[in-house]
Amino acid sequence: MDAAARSSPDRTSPGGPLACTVDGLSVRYRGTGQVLDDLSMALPAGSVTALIGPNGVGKSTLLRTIAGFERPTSGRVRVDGVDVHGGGSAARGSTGFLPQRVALYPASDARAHIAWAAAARPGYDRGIPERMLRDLDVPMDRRTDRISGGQRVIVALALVLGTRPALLLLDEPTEAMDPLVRLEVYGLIRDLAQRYGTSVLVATHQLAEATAAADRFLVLGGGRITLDGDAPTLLATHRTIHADAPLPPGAAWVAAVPGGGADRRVVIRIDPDRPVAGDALTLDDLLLAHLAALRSATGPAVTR
Amino acid sequence: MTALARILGRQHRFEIAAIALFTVVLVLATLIAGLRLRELEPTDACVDAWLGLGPDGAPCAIAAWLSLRNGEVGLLGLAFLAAPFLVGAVAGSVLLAREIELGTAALGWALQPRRARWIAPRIAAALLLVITTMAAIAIAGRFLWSAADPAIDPALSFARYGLDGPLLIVRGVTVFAIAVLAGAIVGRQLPTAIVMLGLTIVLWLAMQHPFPWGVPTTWVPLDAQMTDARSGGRAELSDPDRIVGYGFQSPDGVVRSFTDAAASAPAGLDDDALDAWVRQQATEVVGIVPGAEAGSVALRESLALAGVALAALAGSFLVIGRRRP
Repeated sequence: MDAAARSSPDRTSPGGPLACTVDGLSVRYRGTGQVLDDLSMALPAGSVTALIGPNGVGKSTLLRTIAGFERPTSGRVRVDGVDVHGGGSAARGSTGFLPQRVALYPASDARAHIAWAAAARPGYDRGIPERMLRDLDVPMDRRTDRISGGQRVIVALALVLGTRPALLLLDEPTEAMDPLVRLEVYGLIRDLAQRYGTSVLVATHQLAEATAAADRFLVLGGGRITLDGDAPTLLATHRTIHADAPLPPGAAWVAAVPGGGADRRVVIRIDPDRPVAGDALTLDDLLLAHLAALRSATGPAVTR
Repeated sequence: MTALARILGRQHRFEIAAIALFTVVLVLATLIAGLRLRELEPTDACVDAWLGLGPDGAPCAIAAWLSLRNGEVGLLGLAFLAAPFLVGAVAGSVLLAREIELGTAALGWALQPRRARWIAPRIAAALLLVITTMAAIAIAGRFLWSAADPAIDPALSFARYGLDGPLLIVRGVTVFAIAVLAGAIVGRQLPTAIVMLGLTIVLWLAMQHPFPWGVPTTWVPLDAQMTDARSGGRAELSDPDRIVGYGFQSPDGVVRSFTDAAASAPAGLDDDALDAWVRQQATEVVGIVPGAEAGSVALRESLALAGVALAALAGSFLVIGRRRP
């Protein structure tokens, strides 16, 4: 491992060591402009974190940059103590990344995929994908173009988990799955995180299901982490309101996502003076995925 | 490697089957034609008599041999010309483009963080297929052309240049490498196939008119070049030299085009008179690369193409290394 890349030890959180730290990360694309802007965050070792935000906000870019597939304009990413963009493949080797658009070899079965992964990657633990597929009743001897879309994603996820990564990055992995399988997969992710001390960062819109696995949520907006907290706290202290509404006195704005016009913004508000527990606000109401729908809303303020 | 070969073999099974079928049919046809040519091969005296180089009167059954040589074998020659382009383009254009387009590349990169380790075994496996295929075709070609032109030593003649031997293999590998690079850049199968179709035409034209690769042109009188030559005591049916130029050589050794040579002619001459005047002042010559240089030219072309192939493969590594998953 590159000694220089490891020279600065990882920060530790009050709860223990950090698997990943991101400091002042900015990514700018030619044409589309600034995607990430001075973003900082930290992932505790062994945690499962859900990364939430509307489409196009930069979730995939953030994951790709942490995985080392995207070079930042500025800032630094450290995984397991190694600077991802200065430490070469040493850091990338400890990160598992399942991109949004991933496919299996259609004419081969899951067993052949596992054999291929084991041959491609030294130290690959083929017991993990085999057990995961068995537990989830995914046929291992059927061609992958003859199993369901959800099962294909499970196979891909199982294959990546076999690398036993210190940090696992999942980009909307359960999009093609039915709700029950989603819950099973997230349960499995949590189980694996606990068993192997793997930290997981999962970008998703499926907040309700992610709650089953995630210790905390990060909300991405305007190129930065605009909200960082655990689910019970968020439930107790947050409301979604439409920004062209007059703000209640004393409200503290912590998140803002560009809306349908210059004056319209969907925001997430911490209002410590008015806790919303018992206010019929369900987790689904809080679904930050709803931001995408809300941001096109017009008319008077929406406050729940 | 076995697991990868199995999974890649299934993913590209149609291309592999197409290449295998083409190769088997071509090699079998070549063997059959070669054996038939050997059966019908006329005697030296017969060929000499047919060319008017020897005494007449001996019974000579050359017609069937010539018919086969200039008919079916001529068509096989076209297949041999096309082989490196077909095999190289088909094997190379899908190798990376299909994985990128379908998303299996993204999975591979998730499992193998070093892209070079992802791409290298794929290229090695496909390269093995291309080299094996082209070697089989090249060996079959040597068998056929030695029957079609018994008097020709391939190292001393351009008559069947590029239709057998190592050069045929190198051409296939070069087209393959360029197709791999195109696939890595484009990242989609159909557009890569369209790009390769255009590139194949350009490469085909370039390889049908090979450069002398540094061998100087020799200017010889046209009449002398037209005279049939003998090789090893046998008459040659094909010109061993490669003609690369044509002109009129003045006594001072300068070769000019007809127009340039006629520029200094007296005014008022009609076409026939002008033609006669130019021929009086200069000798009609052809520029040739002598057949004796064929082996050297083939070696130089092989080295140049190998350089192109290496550059293209290195470019593929570079492009894949910078691709987003």
